[in-house]
Amino acid sequence: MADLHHLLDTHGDAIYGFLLQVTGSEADAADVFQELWRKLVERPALLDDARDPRGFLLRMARNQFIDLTRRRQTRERIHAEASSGIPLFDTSPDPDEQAFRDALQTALAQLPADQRAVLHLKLWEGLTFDAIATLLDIPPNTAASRYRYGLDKIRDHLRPLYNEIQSP
Amino acid sequence: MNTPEPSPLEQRLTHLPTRGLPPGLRADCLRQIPQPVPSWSRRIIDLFSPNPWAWSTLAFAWILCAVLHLAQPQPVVILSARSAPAPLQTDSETIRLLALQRATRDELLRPSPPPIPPAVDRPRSRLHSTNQLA
Repeated sequence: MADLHHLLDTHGDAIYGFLLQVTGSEADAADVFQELWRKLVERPALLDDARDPRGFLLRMARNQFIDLTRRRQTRERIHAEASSGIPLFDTSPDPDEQAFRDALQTALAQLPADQRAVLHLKLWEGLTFDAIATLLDIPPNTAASRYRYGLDKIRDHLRPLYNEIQSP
Repeated sequence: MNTPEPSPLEQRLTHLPTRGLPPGLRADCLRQIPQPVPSWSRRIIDLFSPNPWAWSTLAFAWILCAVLHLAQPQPVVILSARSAPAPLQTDSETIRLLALQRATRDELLRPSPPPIPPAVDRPRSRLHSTNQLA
C-alpha cells in the first residue's frame, strides 16, 4: 500500500505544477488536485501496480482535468481564466528575471491547454515524447509537433525581452 | 523518437523553478490521510524496534524466568492428623449416625417415670421390734 505522506512529498509539487499549467488557474488546479487526492486516500492500492508512480499520477491528473472540463461543458472558460497569466513560477528578487517570468506566464496562457500540457511535461518534467504520448493518449508525432508549435509561439512572444536580457 | 539538442531558450526555461504545492492545500491533503490506530502488539513493536538490544534483554529475561521456574523443587507436604483431609462419610456411616441421632431423640421424648418419694423416718412397728429382739 502506498505511503501517502511520501507520495505527497515526492510527487505533490510536480502534479500541482502540471495541473496549474493545464488548467491555467490556481483554483482549478487545487480543485483537481484535491479530487485526485481524495481518490488516492480512498484507494491507496491504486498505485500498487504502477511501475512509474509519477507518470501514473500525471495521467490521473490529466484524466481528472478532462472530467473537470466535461463537467463544465466548455473549455473556453478555462482558457479565458488562463489568459490573465498562469502563476506557474516562483517569484524572483531580480526585476529582469521577474519580468521574463511574467512574460513567459502570459505567453503560456495564450497557448491551447493541449500545447501547454506537452510543453510542461517536456520542459519541467523532462519526459520523452514517447512518454508524453502515452500519458496524454496521443501519437508521439502529435506530441512533438505540439511541443514545437508551442515553443515557437513562446519564442516569438519572448523574443524582444529575451534578446534584451541576452545582450550584454 | 530522437530529441534534438535543446536550444538556449529551452535550457533556460527548463531551469526555471516552478511553484510547489500551496501550504494550505498541502495541509488539507495531509488532514485527509486516515491515521491508523495501532494495536497493542503494534505499540510494543514500535516501542522496541528502535532498540534491538531491548529485544535480546526481554528474551533473556523470559528464558531466565522459565529456567528458574522449572528448576524450583516442588513443595513437600507432610501429612499429619491435622493436615489430613477429612474422610468421606460413607453411606453406612451416615445410616449409623442417623440411627444414633434418632435414638437420642426418642430417648429425650420418652415420658419420664414418677419420682420416688423420699424415705420418711417413721417409728418402727412393734412386730419389727419383736423380730429384732428375737
